[in-house]
Amino acid sequence: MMLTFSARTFLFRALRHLLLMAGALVFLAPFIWMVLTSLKPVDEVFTRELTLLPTRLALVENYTEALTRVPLLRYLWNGLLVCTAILVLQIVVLLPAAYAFAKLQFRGKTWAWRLVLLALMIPHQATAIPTYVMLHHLGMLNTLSALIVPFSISAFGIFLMRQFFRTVPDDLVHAARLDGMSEFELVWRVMLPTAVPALFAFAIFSVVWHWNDYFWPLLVISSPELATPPLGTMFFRNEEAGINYGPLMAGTVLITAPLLLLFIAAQKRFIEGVTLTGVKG
Amino acid sequence: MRVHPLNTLLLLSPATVLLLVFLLGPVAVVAVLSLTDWQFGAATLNWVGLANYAELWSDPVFRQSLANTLLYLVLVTAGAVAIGLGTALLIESDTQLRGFYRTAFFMPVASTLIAMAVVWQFLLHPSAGLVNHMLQWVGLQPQDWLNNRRLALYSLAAIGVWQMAGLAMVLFLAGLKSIPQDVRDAAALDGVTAASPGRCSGQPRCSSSPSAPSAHCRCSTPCTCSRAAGPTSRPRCCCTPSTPKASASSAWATPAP
Repeated sequence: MMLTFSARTFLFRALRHLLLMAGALVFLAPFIWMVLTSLKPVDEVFTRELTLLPTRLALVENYTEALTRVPLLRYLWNGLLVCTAILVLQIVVLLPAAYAFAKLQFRGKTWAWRLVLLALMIPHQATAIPTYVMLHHLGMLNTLSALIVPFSISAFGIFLMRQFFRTVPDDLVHAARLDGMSEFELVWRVMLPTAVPALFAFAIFSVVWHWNDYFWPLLVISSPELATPPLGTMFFRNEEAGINYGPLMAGTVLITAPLLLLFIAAQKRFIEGVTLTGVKG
Repeated sequence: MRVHPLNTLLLLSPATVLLLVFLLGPVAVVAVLSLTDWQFGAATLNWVGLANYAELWSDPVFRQSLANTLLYLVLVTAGAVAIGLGTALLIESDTQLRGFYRTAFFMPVASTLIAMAVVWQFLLHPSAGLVNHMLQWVGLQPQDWLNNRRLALYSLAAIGVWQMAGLAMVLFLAGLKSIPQDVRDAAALDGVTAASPGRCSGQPRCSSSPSAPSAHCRCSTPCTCSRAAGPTSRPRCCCTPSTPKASASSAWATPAP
């Protein structure tokens, strides 16, 4: 290998781009295909020859069909409502607890912390049947509350925020107490502002998880008008009976778009957040 | 400073109550019910001990599903880690288009999987799907990816890898960034450069015999052999430290970041 320095650099760069471009194309192919198909009229979807671009643009009819056949905007609104409510409740519940675990001494702390760690390992499906029965007795099945209330507690959130609060200097806490703050004021006016990066990371996990959750809405929701986006996707798919892919892809574009746009807009925070939870959690 | 126990209790009580009601309580209930003959919605139940577990274990469908799950788990984990590490190393090795590649590989993680599953179902459609179109284009036989009993699990695992690899990549990227500079410097001295940050700088391979100690040392940097202490010990290769500039002329050379 007697290549000159710059030639070798060039070769390496070209090879890197070749490999990564091929990979990126495979990873983006479903998204590209989804968008392209959502623009095609029905007779161009099932063709013998592979055609990438639509010859006749069916954008208006496909998206109109997607928006009118099922209440798609309603699903998106439900998803937004449920995710926001869950996140707000989770933060209200977990911040004081995380603060207590990080900065206060109390009897039984070790055992309480072990219970949190135990709860962290409980899979979502394990609690489903008792929770379902409980909601049934409370008359809460088939309501949006049934999608929100069981997730108001997040052991992962307590764990993450406790780890973060431990890195906050004790002096800050002492200073706030000397200024006459109560413990509750301290949590919301001192700890909360310092915790914004970690809370952002937690929010990403919470929103991505609950926006995409299909299992729980499928169990507790039976009215189409209460469906969240994933459940709505399945209602829509059943309506279309797998024949007309154009409107179906238009529907999936509309359902995946909010989270993807959020990700692209806040990409740096998104990846930082995932990294923070992945490396420290 | 000691905080009043009542305050601590108030801070902890909402989380504690919800933890017991929605997580620990239901799990305990499920654990107890698994030892009874309770039917969904029934008012009475009898203690049956471990009979349910015995029945589950003797059920061939359960065993098959367990085996399928394990295979799926191994395939997706191995695939996602391998692709995640590979892409992370390639992306980190240079600065061009870093942001674009990171976004492209991470997009499946942020997408709604159920909606993307519908898209995948269409991509893998036996007659109209993109995958079979591509296969026919290069002259291969089209397959019914999701209904062929031998292929379905592998098709699903491929979708799983597609969805998870970006997450692994981001964690590897963070790990690569946190490798301390002195480790990188040491690796550079040993002739490892930015093109191969994951490659261990390694021990010099020494194939020397006691009679001709310095004959066959292979090392990317100027190398000498020395005898380790003690008469019975084997001779060792020792790489003499060279400057990073000298190491840049070795086989792996690309500019350091």
